[in-house]
Amino acid sequence: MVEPDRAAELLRTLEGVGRRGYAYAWQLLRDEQDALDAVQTALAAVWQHRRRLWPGRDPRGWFYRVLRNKCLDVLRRRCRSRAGGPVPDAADPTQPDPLGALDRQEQLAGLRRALAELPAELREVLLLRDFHDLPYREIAAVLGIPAGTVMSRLHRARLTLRERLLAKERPDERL
Amino acid sequence: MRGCELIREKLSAYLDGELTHQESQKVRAHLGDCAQCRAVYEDFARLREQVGRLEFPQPPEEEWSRVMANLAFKTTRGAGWLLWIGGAALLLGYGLYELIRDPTISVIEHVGVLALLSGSAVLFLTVLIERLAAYRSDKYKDVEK
Repeated sequence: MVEPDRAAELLRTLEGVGRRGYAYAWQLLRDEQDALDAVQTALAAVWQHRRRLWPGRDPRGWFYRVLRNKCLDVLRRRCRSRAGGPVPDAADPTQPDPLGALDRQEQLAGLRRALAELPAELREVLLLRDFHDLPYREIAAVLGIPAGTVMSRLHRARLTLRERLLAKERPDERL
Repeated sequence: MRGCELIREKLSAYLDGELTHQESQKVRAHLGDCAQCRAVYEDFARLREQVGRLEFPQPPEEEWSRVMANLAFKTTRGAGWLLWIGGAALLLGYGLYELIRDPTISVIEHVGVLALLSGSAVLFLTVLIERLAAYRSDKYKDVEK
């Protein structure tokens, strides 16, 4: 039974991809229920069209693209429901970080703050590369931008992060 | 130094293994000679490692199990529907064949089998039309891997 085996394998892959994707959705939406709904929709969309992925293709790029679109839909809805009020940055550093209590690694706290202060477009590309481990061409497809732009944004993100960490936390030494 | 600027623009891509072999060689050679660029590169590498270790929320276990179970059930449900439709089509086809072939079948049986066949055809068509409409409005259908 080739098809059920593949389906089971894809399901296992999606289990891991979905968990990681939940973090991505949370990074964009900062709301547990919205993040879970977005992941569920994206998983269902990939699952529904799963035959396009076979044989043995990595579903991450596709999943992240669908998930990002879903998250943007949620952000647009939020924006509309605020009746023309200012659109909050999905990860506005001035808003309280709901993860604060979960942050067990003290040495990463500075990095988290510096990351939150990055412009959204730089932060997203950095997280897609370094946290979600996507290659440049997948990031380009997820964000709908050229691979060269991914490269330059990532470079700016790392430079900015490095400068801020050096300036704020360890002014006299390197990171 | 202009040489350093050009190399630094490529440090991220070098770190991520996204440069061509030739470009990588150039960057590697420069890093061997330039302590300042090497320091930036090492910082980038450390940053990447630290960002990779950041913790973000995990989905609540109970909710997550439900999401994954729903996904798994869709496969089983699909197989169930296939079997059901196949069996129903076989039986209805056989009923129609017997209806035509056997002159001893009563009018009531004729009406019953024809009603079942017509009803099934109508139901099948309505589901088909509904599915087609849903497919046309599916915004993810053109998302390619």
